[in-house]
Amino acid sequence: MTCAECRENLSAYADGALNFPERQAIGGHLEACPACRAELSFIQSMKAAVAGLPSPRMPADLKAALLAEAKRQTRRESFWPSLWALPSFRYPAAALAACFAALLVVYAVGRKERGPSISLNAMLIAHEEYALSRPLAPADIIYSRLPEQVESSGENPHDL
Amino acid sequence: MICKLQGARIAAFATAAALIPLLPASGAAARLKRPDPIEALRRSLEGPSVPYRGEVKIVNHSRQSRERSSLAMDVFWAGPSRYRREIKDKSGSIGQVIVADGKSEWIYSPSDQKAWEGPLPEGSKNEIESEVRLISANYDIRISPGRRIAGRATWLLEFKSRATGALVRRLWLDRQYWLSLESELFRPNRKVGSAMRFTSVSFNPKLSQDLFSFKPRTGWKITSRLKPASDAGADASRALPSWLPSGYVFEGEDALRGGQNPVWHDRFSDGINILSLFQCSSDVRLDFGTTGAKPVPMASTHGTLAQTQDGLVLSWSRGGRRFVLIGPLDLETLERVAESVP
Repeated sequence: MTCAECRENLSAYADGALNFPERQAIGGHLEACPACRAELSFIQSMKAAVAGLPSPRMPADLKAALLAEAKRQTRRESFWPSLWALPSFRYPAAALAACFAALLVVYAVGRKERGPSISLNAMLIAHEEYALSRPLAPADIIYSRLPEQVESSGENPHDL
Repeated sequence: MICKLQGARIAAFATAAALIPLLPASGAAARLKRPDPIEALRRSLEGPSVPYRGEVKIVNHSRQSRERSSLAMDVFWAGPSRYRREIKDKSGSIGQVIVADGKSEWIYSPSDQKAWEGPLPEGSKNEIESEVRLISANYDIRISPGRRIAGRATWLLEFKSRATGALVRRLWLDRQYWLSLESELFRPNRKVGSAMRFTSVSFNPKLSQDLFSFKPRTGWKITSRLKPASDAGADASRALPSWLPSGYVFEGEDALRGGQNPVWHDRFSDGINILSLFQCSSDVRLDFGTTGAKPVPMASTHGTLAQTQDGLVLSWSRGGRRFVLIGPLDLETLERVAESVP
């Protein structure tokens, strides 16, 4: 993992929003990269500082003005029905929508005809599970990466 | 008084003189205590005869970025079908758990409330003698006193390929229980790819039976892990390589799935390394995920190459079939195997 890839996900990492493999990958990079650790520390301190700020109250006159404007908008006639009434807009738009729907159908059928798929992770799991059945298997090393592969192989690897 | 002193000196001298001839003998005795490497290998394959628990550190070296990642794991072991491994994340909390409850092997993530159920690894205790023969035929095994690991005395067992002379694995075995307390796996480029080491270990601890059970709570998502399809039957038309690297033998096959698009898995081994050949109809698409696969020219076709912790992965299509070869071999050797598949 490069520093750029790491920093792209540092904010999510600080929020705890990444999954386990992503956390492991970033954690591994952070262990070896003092610059990214410093960046993470900065992000964490900024988040803590922002979280500590009091929420500003909306001024009473601004709130009243916004509510009044919202009421006016709901009373106003919608723009799209009036546009749809124009034949010069309605027919080309309908033709365009039909073309788009046809493209979607062609894409879906094409995908189905391309047949089933299998992930490389499913094969790696089979490879490692066989390795585990060997007496001299480096079991702890294999088990340390098996959960990540199982998780990445998809929800149901039987459904190829 | 003088007589007493002289008597004591004479006695001490006599004792020392009596011991001198024994010194070379005691050195020889110490050398004799070094076990036979094949016997040490055999006892290591049989595994420890008592339960144990310990903390393990695992280091993986990335080939591409030259970085290394490490993780810690707590291990509880009460037999080949009852064990527990807790993989910790960077903060030290448990990220993933692997539990064998005697019937199934579960992998679950407490934070995500997801679990995968799979079969227990097949034991092969009855194959130990054939395994020893295969390993000792392909590897020169040497034993020497090892360093202390987690406070335990060890023997160092080294495996060098008889074909290439390359060191492929080093094991530090506990002298009393023969558990591998540290191991290093070397890549074809002769650099360490992965390593594990116990940072602490205790034998015969009291282990609660709760450690070896898993009962998912309400709301957990349970998924069956991939297991060989029993309805696949045999496929006599599947293609097998006519050339294998020195020492590798065919060990068996099964199908990852049955039905109209079976994916066959043939396994080959030299006793330590595993070579897997998968094949299916070329209609079955292969999803490489995030392995950074790239196209690679082969002698007779075009292939795709990816690098994983299990070694290189080479994929190609020929004769209406898609093939995937996985193994800890260099690209040249993998290609030679691939080109020998009709």
